[in-house]
Order: sequence, then structure tokens, then C-alpha cells
Amino acid sequence: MRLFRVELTRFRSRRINQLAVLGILGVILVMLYGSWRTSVPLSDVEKAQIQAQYDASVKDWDENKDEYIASCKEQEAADQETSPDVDYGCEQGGPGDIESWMYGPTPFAERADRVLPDYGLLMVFGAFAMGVSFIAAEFSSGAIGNWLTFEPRRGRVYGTKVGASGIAVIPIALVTGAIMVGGTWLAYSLNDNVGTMTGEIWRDVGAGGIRLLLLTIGFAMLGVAVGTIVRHTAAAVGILVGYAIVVEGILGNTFEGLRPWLLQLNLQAVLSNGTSYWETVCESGPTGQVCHGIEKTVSLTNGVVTLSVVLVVVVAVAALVFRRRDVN
Amino acid sequence: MTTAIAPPDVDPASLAVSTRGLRKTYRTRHGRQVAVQGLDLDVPLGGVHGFLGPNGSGKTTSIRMLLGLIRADSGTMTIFGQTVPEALPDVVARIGAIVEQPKFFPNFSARKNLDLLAGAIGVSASDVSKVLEEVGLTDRAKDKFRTYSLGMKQRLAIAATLLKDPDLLIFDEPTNGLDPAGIREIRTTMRSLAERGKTVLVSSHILAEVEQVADTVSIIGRGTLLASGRVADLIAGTTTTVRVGVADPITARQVLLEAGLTVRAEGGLLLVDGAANPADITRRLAHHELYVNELVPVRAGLESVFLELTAGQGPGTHIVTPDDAVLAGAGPSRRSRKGETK
Repeated sequence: MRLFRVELTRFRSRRINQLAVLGILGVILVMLYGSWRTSVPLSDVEKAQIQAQYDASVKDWDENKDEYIASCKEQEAADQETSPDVDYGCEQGGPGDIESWMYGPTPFAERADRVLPDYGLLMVFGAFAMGVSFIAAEFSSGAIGNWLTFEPRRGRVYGTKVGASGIAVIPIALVTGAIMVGGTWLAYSLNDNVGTMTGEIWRDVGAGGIRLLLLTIGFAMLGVAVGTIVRHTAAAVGILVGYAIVVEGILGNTFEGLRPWLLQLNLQAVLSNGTSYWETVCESGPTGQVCHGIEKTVSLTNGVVTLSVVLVVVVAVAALVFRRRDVN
Repeated sequence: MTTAIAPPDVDPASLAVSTRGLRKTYRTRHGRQVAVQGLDLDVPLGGVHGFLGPNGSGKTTSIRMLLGLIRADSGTMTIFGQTVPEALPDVVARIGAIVEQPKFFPNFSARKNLDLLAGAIGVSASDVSKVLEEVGLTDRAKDKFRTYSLGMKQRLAIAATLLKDPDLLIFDEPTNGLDPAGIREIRTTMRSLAERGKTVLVSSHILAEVEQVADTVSIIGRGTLLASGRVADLIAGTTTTVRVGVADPITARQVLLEAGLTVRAEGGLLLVDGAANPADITRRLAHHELYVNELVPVRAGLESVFLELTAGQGPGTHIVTPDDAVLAGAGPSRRSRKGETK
């Protein structure tokens, strides 16, 4: 416990972590400003413009309805030769109701569950960077050698650093998350665009907050593990960038079957309580190869399991490296 | 607990540190490089023990292995009779060490750095203040470590070692980069620690300083022990050299060589080894009507012992060549000679 308390003190005292928190808060403020701007309801002028566009669309439909329907059916027939199930609903065309045209900004109630996932990547990356720099600084300054002459049990030293980083980011995640949700609600309130908030919506927001908190803890610990292996903050960030480009970008797009097991989709799945992606499937037909997109899902469970396995493996490898590697 | 492994004539209970057959190699682009090769080191309890050797001889590597910072390839090590690194957690509270440069967090103050270390071992804040005062850093305690001069950094490192009130202090090159006042301060600190019953193991290149402060020394070269024992005993075993000034050094040299003495030329003077009595030199030369204008016995010091033992053992060492006009054999070999321990 003593060692753990000391590590927590050091984590909190690090200037770079304090600056990282300020940086996160700065970005949150920018996002809140964006929320306020986008939550402004339609003005009278905009409503009048939309009304005029609607009226013109209704008039056009009344005058040319038969021609539009005939053209639609002709296209539908042509496409049914290759895809018999195609149905373009030609008879149901037209401008629709005026309400569907007067779409103002989505009320807060309808996007509350998106607030934390939208900012979640920032928090997760920030936690990772704090974890990396927490341990990498010890190696680059040589202080780790000094530390080991006071506490030579490497397993204990490593364990406390991993644990302390995970615990230390909890208040950061909670406070910034609360500011993000509360601030977004306030921004929408100022524009009288909150909508009807129910208990279920707040429960969803709370569940999202817990998921984000667990991700933040996990990535802080992952940062310490990666930092232990590479010993340099810049190298760790470089590895992350390289992973994003090579694995997520190139390999993920080349071998689409890999995507459900890559970090980005699984991170999104945990943040958003499940996510989906499009996979291209091509089939040979009488007119040649026809490709179409199929929507696939990555569940929350898939995300949790995949990320947990990654965390456990990397933390374990780093522990082995730390125990065996010479400290110069 | 494992008992120390020591040669029959050394009582393990009298040793603070003991190593047997210690070996460490590093992989390099050109193959494996041996840093420490079968080192047998004994550091007696109490007093100051100098650990000397040329650059790259394995001193720092040996110290790192003792402290568990690097892994030995083979061999055994004990500290206070306990086998390390396995039992290091049991004895680490009795060890304070500075290995090479002082290493602290640069953006934390001196006090903060010591508070963290003190917190790790359960030492109180008042003890932190005490050690800062002991090394004279109280006034600069709140300043960041990176603003410290090298001397202040060394003092902070010493303060950190004192936090534990250890029985064994290991100082690796503690006077590097210090001015004469700083060096004297370190020397005084080491002696005062020894007088309080501590054991101080100091690794240093500055032989004159070690000679002043150390009670016993171990000299290593290329990772193996070359000599060990009391400083006085090692120096006593050296050959007495006499510096001779004479008008005709060439003829004088020939006369002395024929008498079976070892003669080296140094500028216009002759350095004569092996003379039982300097008066023999004047008598032999006078017999050939050669009269000396200078006759000075040169006191051998630790440096002479060191250079003789480590000749050709690494960077900065002196290699004896025919140009030094040594036509007879050199002084008695001291390889692997162990002196009496305190």
C-alpha cells in the first residue's frame, strides 16, 4: 500500500499529466461550444425558406407525378433483372409532410447517449499517453535504477505502477465526463432544445459513462505496459500511429475479415454499446461480378473480450520484460 | 539464508560483500563482450574499501549486479551473508547506493524526490529534512533537481542513500565532476561514515583520493581481480625507485645495468629500481668517477601499484614497451595476491 500511495502521488504530481488534463478540458470546451452552435433551433427566416422550398416541391410533384412514377418503374424493372427483390416504392414518392422538411437540430434527449462516445476516444488516448509517459520518464531519467535500489522486488514495483495509473485516471475520467455531459445539456438548454429526458435516457448515459471509465482505466494500464516495453514516450506514440496506419488502415481494408478483431472497431463497440461496419461482398452474376455492401455488427461483448485479451497479454509481456531486462 | 562462499582464509562473517566467479557478458554487433570475468571480490565489514580499475574493467557492472539492476551470467554474490539478488529484498534496507550519475526526476524538487523515496520505505518527512540538512541542501530543497549543479546532485544522491541509515554504502565514482572542495567533502563524508561503523565501498578512478580515504582496496582489470588487501600492504610491496641526476647519464646507465639494477631514462634523469640502499648507487657511480647531482627516493603510491597491475588492461592504462628502457624484469607480480583483511 505504501508503494502504491507513493506511485499515486507521483502520477498526480507530474506536470505533463496536469497539462494533459488541461488539454482534455480545453478540447471539451471546444466541443461544448460546437454543441451550443449546432443546437440552435431554426430561425423564422430559415423556416420561411424551407416552407417555400416545400411548396415548390409539392407543385412540381402535382404537375409531373405521372412522368416521375413511370421513370421510377422503368428503372425498377431494369434493376430487377439482376436483383429480383428490388422495390423502389415508386407509388409512394412525393415531397411528404412539411414536418419532415422542418428538421431542426436533434434535441439533447435524442443524442444524449452519443455525448460520451463522441469524446471517449480523446479520453482513452489521453489516458494511454499519461500511462506511457508515467513509466517512460523513469527510464529516460534513470530514476528507475535509483528506485530499484530502494525496492528491488520488480514484480511489486511494476504492479504498483500499473495499478496506480489505472486508479489515478478515475477522477480525471469522472470529472471530465461529468463536464462533458452536463456541459452539453447546458448548451442545449440555452437553446431550449433539450427535449424530453427520461430515466431510461439517463440510465443509458450512465452506462456509457461506466463503459468509458473502464476503457480509460484499461488504456492507462496499457500505456504503462507499452511504456515499460519501449521505454520512450515518443516510441510508444509512434507505435500507436504505426498501428493505426498499417494495421487498421492497410491490413484492415485489405483483409476485411480482420476488422472485427482490430482495436478501433472494438473500442467503438464498447464506447457505443455495439457498433456496425460495412463489408463488401461480391458475387458473380449473368452480367458479371456484382458487389454490394453488407452491414455487420460488432457487439459490446466482442469489444470487451477483445480489448481485455489485448490488455492482459500486453501487461503480462511487459511484466516479463521488466523482470528480466537489465536496468542501466 | 545462505552462507557466504569465501576462500578458507577469509571468515565470511567478516565480509560485507563477497562474490565468487562473477561473470557478465554483453551481446554486441561483433559478438559477445565480456564485462566481468570470474570476479572474486571480498569487501570487509567496516571501513572504506576502494574498488579500482581502468575504464571498462567491470566496476560499475559488478556494482549493478550486486544491486540487482543487471543479471549476472554466472557466479555467486552475497551481501551481509545473504545470497543476492534472491535475498536482496531482505538486505536492501541496509544498503545505500549511488551508481554512476545521480538519477532523480528532473522536474521534481529535491525534497519531492526524497519524499517519494522516503514514502517507499516508510521513512518520515522529518528524516528527509534531517538528511537534507546533513548534506547542506536545506536552502535549495524546493528547487527542481534539473537546476542543481553536479556537486549538488551528488549531495542529493548521498542524502538519498542516508535515508535508510544503511550499514553498507556503495559509491560509484562519487567525485566525478566535483571541484576540490566537493571532493574533500565526499572524502570527509566517507571517512565519517566508516568511523560510525558503516562499510563504504567506493569505486573511483582518482587513486590519490582513494589512497587517502580507503583502508582496503581491490584492483580489477578486464573483469578479474588483480590484487586486493590493505593499501599499506600493497604499497609496501612495490619496488623502491630512486631518481638519479648525473652529468653523463648514458655511461651511468650502463654502469648500473651491469650491476644488475633496473634503469629507466626519464628526460635527463635516470630512474633506478631494485637498489637496496640508495648509497649503493652513489658508490658504484663514484667508483667510475661519475658523481651524482641529484639522488631522490621516489615513494611508490597506489598509482604505481595500479598502473603496474593494469598495464594493457584497458583505456588509459600504461603499456610497458622497450622504449621505456626497461631491460631487466619489472617489479614483482601481484596478480591474484590477496592481502590480509581488516
